[in-house]
This record gives sequence, structure tokens and C-alpha cells, in this order.
Amino acid sequence: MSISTGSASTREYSDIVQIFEPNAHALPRLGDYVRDLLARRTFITELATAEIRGAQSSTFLGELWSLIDPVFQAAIYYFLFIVIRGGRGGPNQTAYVTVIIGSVFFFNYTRIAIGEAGRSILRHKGLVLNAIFPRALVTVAEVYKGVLATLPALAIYAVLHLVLGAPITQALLLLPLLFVIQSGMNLGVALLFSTVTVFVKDMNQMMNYILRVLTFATPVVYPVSTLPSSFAKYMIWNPFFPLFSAYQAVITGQMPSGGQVFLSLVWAIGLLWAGIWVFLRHERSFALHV
Amino acid sequence: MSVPLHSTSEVEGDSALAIEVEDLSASYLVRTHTRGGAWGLRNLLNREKGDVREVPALRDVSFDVPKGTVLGIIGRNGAGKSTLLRTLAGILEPRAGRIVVRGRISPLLSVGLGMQPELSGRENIRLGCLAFGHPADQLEYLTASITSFAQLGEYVEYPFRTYSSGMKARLGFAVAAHLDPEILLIDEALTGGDAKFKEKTAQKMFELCGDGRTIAVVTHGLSLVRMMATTALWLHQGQVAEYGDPDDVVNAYMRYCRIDASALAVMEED
Repeated sequence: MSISTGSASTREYSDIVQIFEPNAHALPRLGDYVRDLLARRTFITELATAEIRGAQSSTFLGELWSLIDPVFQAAIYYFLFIVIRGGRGGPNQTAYVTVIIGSVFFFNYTRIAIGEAGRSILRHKGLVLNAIFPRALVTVAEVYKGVLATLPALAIYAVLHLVLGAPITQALLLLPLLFVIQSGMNLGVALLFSTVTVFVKDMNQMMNYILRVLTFATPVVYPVSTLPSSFAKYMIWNPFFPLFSAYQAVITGQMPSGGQVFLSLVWAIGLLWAGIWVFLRHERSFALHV
Repeated sequence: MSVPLHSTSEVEGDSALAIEVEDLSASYLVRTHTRGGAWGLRNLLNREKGDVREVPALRDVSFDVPKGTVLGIIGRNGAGKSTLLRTLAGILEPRAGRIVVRGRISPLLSVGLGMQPELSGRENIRLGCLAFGHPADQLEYLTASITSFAQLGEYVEYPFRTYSSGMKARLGFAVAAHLDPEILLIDEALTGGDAKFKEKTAQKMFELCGDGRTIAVVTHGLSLVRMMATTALWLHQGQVAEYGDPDDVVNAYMRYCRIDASALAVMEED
């Protein structure tokens, strides 16, 4: 039974009709959802840039930190592998240090995507509880923040690559493709983790350990060539392993194998599909659980 | 504008109604942090005791709101008022029942809660407008208009966390009211801000209502409900206690709370 009172309005309303009923796991139409996200793409860029500015606003050097941070990181690895190792690295010393610095900088993007974007729904709890918008907007914005934070580091790396005399070959042209594949993987993992952290709060703590394990299970702080073959066969289960093997090949001037690129692409598509599916299936109940 | 959080299907009913609520039940989750012995291992092994409980917030609530209505929602703390607003907005999924909403709903409910504390007022305004789907080329105009309405002045460039509660309330209401909603949902908007801004808020709501928009406002300001609302809803323990003429509903609520008119005047003066 319904009760009603008041008088009808003469104003013409838009023809939007929405029905809210229990339907917890219904998936929205993907086409409509993506269209809605694209219509709000400026929100994604504004949120990412504003948050980066906001985080640095209380520091004296402000946005300069996005350049200083990678310079310091590069200096530390240079000190470790060139100064401390002395001449022991031999002719491969330059290749060694560029591989490590390049891998660390590219991996930072994944670290931000998983660490920050994976907590994005919980971090924007206020927005989720009080505003109406496709929730994936905040996760995509956090991944985009990762891109913005990585670009200055990559510019620093480009300078180092030239200064250290690392090889410049056609293989470098593959970097943008690998970066796109990495973005697909990052977004997929970010959507998965941002959903899981809403329902399993312990994942917030677990994230730091997952990232640490991932850092060592991926060729980031060591060249892939130094990994014993007995370990390498298990690495097929780490989505980022073939991708970072391909990155390291490119940085050292070699073409990555077709298998590495293909496997990376398959992982990216798989993770993205799984991330979108899990996120959209649970998005409607985020407000109940955050 | 489509809102992908929700299902849409063929709908029948009275197109003169902005909101139809039918046998609505909703709940929220409460986490209890009762840790058992052995560093909580007992709880981990004994999951049926669990630390998450589902609390029913609304039970079999039904009412209709014609287009152009100002609906004042009152009730004691924990009566389910904010939960009702969130289910009307489609933010919180109902456990049972059905809601039909005809028109564009304002995206901001609770004043200030959707704002990012580290970002400036200007950045928060832009993000609020963009989340609602406003085109980027309207942002400058909207930001200027909202800043002026909220009387922020130079504070619009300061981080939101530095704002007083009054400034937060002014900004929250200004953003929600400027997004051109056909259905405006506001939670506790009128409890913040000084007397002058309360008057300005009331004036803006009259203006929006006179323009034929539908407004649902959750408030403890009983005089404001009497003054502004065309209909009032008293929620008690998740159920509709009274619904109808604002004077009748407010009087019934005051009788229940044992508040007399003079005490109310003193309370609201405070």
C-alpha cells in the first residue's frame, strides 16, 4: 500500500526513469557503462591531477618532487651497482644498471596501480556513500595517477639511458606497446583489488606484502637472465613476468621474444576482463560494505 | 543521462509522481570488534559468531512523492532517514521492495561528505560538477556561481579540510543546488551555516520548488519543515510513523518526543 499527498507539478521533467530493487549481482550493460565513463573522462584527469597537487601542496618543493623522487631512486641504484660493485660489473655494468633502473621505474607504475588504485573505493568512501556516479571512475583515476607519476620518471630514465651510453635500437620502439599492455594489466588488477578490499578489509594490510612478493617475483631488481631456470618455469603464473622480461630485453637493445609479448597481451586481456567483470558484479553493493 | 549503478526496465505507474516507494526494506552492516582469546583466533575459527552484523534500517516503507513536492523527512537519530535518502538516490541497494524515480537526481547527499579534504574548494566544486556529468565548458561559470552563493571568497582556493563546518555546509548545499537537478536530495543541509545562510538556503529551496522541482530533505529543524515542506514524513525505527501535512506530522512527532512549542523555539534558536 502506498500513501501519497501534495500537488502535481507543471514543470516538464526529463524522461529518465530509474528503478531500484534488489538485484545485487546484475551486470549493467557494458556499452552504456563505458559511455558513461567516457562522458566523465575530464573527472578522471581532474581527480588525478588534483590529488597529486593536493598530496604535494604541503611540501616546500611541491610538484618538483615528481622529478626529485626518481632522480634519488636512480642515484641509489647507481651507487649500489656502479660505485659499491666498483669495476666488478665488467662491460655489462652499464647494461645492468640501466636494466635495474628502467625496470624499477616501470614497476613503480604497477606498484601505484595496485597499492593506490586497489584501495581506491575505500579511500573515496565519502564519495561512494554520497554521490551517484560509475564507481570505476575513481579506480581508473588512480591508475591514471600512476601514469602521471611515472612519466617524469621515464623522462629521467631517457636521460640516463643516453648519458650511460645504453644501446639505442629499433627495439625501443616497442616501449609504448609494452606500456599499453602494462596499463591493461594494471587496470585489471586495480579493479580486482579495489573490489576485494571493500569486502575483505584485511586485504588493505595484505596489499603491502603482496606488492613486496610481486616485486621479487618479477624481474625488477635483478636481470631476468640471472634467474635460475628451476625458478623461471614457475614464473609463468606471474602476469608481470613476461612483460618485465620483454621490458628488460628492450632496454638492453634486444627484441623481446614473440612469446613474451604474446603472453603479456593474453595476461592483460584476461586480467582486464576479470577485473571489469568482478567490479561491475559487485559495484551495487559497495555502499553497504565500505 | 543514464546511471549505470541501477537496473532499468519497463515501468508503469503515474508519471505525475517523482518518487514511488513500495514495501521498501534496507539494511546496513555493523562491524563489532569483539576479539576472542588467543589473539582473535577463536573468532576466526568460529565464524558463525562473526563480527559483521546486518542491521535492518528500513522496514516495509511505502509512500509516493508527486513532482514539485518539498518532502521534509524527520525522525530521531537512527530512525533510518539517511538510509532512506541513500536508497532513493540509488546509492544503497534495497533488501526488498521497489523504488521508481522519475527525473534527474542531485548527486550529493550529505553536506561535505563527498568532498576531498586535501583538495581546494575550487577543485571540489569542479569534481562535483564533473562527476554529475556536466560538460567541462560549463565549469568556469558554475564554479563562479557556486563560490558566490556559498560566500567562500578567497577561501575557495584553500584546502577543504581547513573549512569551518558552516563553510562546508554552505559549499555542499551550493554544489547540490547548482547542478540543476529535477529531484534534490539533501541530508541535514539546513543544520549548518549561520542564520543568514539558513535564510539564503531556504530561499534557494523555495526558488527550486517554485520552479517545479522535487525536494526531499532530511532535517532536525522542525520549524523549517513547517515553513518549507509541502509534505512531511516521520520515520520511526525504520517504519513510516506519519506521512502527510507538515503541521500534523510535526505535531505528532513533538507529542511523541514530549517537546512543547516553547521548548522547540529555544532548541532551534540554539
